[in-house]
Amino acid sequence: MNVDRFEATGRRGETLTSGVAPAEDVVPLRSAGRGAIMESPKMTNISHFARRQPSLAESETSDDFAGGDYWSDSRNSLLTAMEILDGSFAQVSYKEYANYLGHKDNFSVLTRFIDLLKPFPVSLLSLLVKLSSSVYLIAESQNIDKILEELSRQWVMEHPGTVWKLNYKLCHIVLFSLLILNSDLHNEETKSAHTRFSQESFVRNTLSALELELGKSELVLSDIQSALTHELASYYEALKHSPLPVFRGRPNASLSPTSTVTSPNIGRSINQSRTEDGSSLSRTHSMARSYYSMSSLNTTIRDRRQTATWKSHNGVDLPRLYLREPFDEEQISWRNPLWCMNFVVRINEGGYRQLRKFEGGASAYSRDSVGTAASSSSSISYKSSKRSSIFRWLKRPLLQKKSKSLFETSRTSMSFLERDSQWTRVRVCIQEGRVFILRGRESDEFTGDVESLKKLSDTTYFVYSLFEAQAQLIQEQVVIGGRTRVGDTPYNFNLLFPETAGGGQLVLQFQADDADTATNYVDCINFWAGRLSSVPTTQFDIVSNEEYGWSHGVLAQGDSSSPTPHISRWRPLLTIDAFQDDVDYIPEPLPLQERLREISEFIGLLSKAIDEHNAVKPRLIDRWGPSSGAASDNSTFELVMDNWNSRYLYLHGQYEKREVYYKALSRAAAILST
Amino acid sequence: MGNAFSRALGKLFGSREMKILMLGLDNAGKTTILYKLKLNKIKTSTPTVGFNVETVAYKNVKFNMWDVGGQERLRPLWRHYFPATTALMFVIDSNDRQRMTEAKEELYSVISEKEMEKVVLLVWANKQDLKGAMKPQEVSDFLQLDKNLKNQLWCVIGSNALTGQGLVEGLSWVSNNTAKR
Repeated sequence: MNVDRFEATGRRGETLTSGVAPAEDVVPLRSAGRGAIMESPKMTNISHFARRQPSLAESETSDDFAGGDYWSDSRNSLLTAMEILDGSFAQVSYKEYANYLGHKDNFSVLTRFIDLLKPFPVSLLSLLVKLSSSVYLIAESQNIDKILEELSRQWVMEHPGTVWKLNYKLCHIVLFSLLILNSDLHNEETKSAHTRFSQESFVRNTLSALELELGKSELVLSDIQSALTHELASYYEALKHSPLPVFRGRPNASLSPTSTVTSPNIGRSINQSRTEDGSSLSRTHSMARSYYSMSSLNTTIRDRRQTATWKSHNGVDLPRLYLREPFDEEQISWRNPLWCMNFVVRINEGGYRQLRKFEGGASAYSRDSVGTAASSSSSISYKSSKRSSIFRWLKRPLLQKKSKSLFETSRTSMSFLERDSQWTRVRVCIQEGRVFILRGRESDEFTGDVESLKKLSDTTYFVYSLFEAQAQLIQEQVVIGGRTRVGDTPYNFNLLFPETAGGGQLVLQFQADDADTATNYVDCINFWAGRLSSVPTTQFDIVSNEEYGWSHGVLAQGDSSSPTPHISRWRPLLTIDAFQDDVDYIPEPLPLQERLREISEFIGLLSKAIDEHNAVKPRLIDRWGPSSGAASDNSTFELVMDNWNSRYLYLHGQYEKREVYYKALSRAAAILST
Repeated sequence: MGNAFSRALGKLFGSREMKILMLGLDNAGKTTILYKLKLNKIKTSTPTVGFNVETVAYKNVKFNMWDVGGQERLRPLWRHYFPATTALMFVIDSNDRQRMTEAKEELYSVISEKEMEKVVLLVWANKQDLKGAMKPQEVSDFLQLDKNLKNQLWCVIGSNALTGQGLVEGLSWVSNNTAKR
């Protein structure tokens, strides 16, 4: 097999780009190619050079070393093709080889690569098997398309005697169809889909695609139909029982097939070029590196699914959430309360329990494989001794998700009004966009240094990103019995996290000893939240033909005569903040001043939107209301008004939140400018 | 409110699964989008030779996304998948004005297929982060969806596949608008 390949290299090494060059052209090339591969010292140089500076791989090296002529170009392509085949091409990971080959700029490499696969089996399915066991063939469809097209082109030249004659386009269709079939039959992602090919539908589908193309060739479908049907059906059965093999890379580049090549000259020269100067070592190394980078990629992905709490606890460094600016260090070292807060306050016992449930409940979600990014946090924030309690949470139904009525919400967020509410001392530290909540004997020692968290042994803690969070001072909104609260009366503040995709929302209630502390906490939280959160402009840029009842067209229609269009229910689109636990990376970090400008523009946009929305309301009543005549259909009217109301609430909520952010950030800007 | 609604739906109908075709010219950003959405994948399956098929779960809804590309002559092969398709996601490089016409032709060649009559069309006006990018409104005007699409519900959403802006919004729109089908 290997012998074949490299003999083939020697023989056809320098055939022309198309791979279907007329024979007379090949003759002079042959000697040139052989000479280059076996003797030229430049060849060795190029391969070394290309390896040391992978970014320069193709064009530059050829200019430097061989005058940039056509031959060196094609020699480089051949070299690359060979490296890809033996898995040593280090410019991209082996999993990207197919995408590399399919790229339009790498066509000459592709031609050579396909050429190296010769001899080709006669069966098209075997041909695919050969391809997929030579290169990791999971790629973008447009790249696969290119590879298969080239494969077909060379295959028909090798086997001109089949039913296809020289119509490579037809083979291309069959190959592509087989690959679709393979994805369809064996991809786990499609396991439960209803659209699995049956043998009959596969054959029919492929034939109908061929039919369109056949018209352009000299072949006649009726002549070959029965042979084709038979062939395709047998491919289907074969593929159904054994999927195409997945190429797993060649981890041992130093044991690459080249070392077993027996053809003496070629083998030696290739080996030389690789072993001299320890380059074979560096190749192994570069392979190892690409493996490493793959695995670190996976790690990143997994990490994102875990909550900050988990990371912090497991000693994973918490990534920076914001764009750090020069003044930040200063303000943090001065302990400016807008930048960092670290005191002991009281947390509502119910809220604290909710916090723990939230962490546990989140993992219950992922068990349910709702599978949003919303935390596959098996994240036990607290120490392992308490792990048993987590499993209890896991077993619980998801009923504690959220309060469902307005009544419940207001009740839970105002529990300080209840006589029997219980409060627990916790240390709450706000810093660099995160809130740390610690409870336990050692929590008093916590200085805000994240490192010190890991040393705590008898303390429970939670860490959350403040992305899209919001804090409010309760006493600003509630006046009890006409008394104004002053001095040392406890002050309450709430911390609200955005609703997650699973439908849960976390609201924490705190109580501070005095108004200043509470106010500082609220400002600090809002400052960081404002800094982290980007504005959801996407929602406003949408263009759609979806009808909620207030488009110009519909309102202009007047009433009765026109048919009632289908009205959709208006719902705000979810944004990334629905994946609260997933926001350890922040979509668009901006400098403080730019964020301020962005928010200010957005507020302007919102207030305009709210005005417009208010203005449209009377027209809605005219158009859809009881007096509109046509609208005997009361449910349409209700739906439209519900839509209006939902959008109003959304706009209003956004407006309030962004204003809070704006104020907090302006305060920071004012501090900085003095 | 919206959430309570979809939760209720989830209880009534259980989880839904929809097949989504993802299309777009090369370099429009399809792969980046798939990769970005992968973060929310529910399971990592063993790789299968062939095309990128990604399943993204989102609340109770499973999105099964196929990267459907390749030359004209291969299009009939995808036809097998058209009838079962819930949504077509078309990705556009909003910054590449020169190829806008090509993109438009590609879109119409698929959406005007008989089998695509009932599909929901989501157009991602991608690469919004680039200075010269056409805004969703401009893209929509250029594509003339309003004039040409009578049956399908469509929507153009600005996106930036690198940051993920607009992606969740898009899926959410699709999910909102296919519930009743």
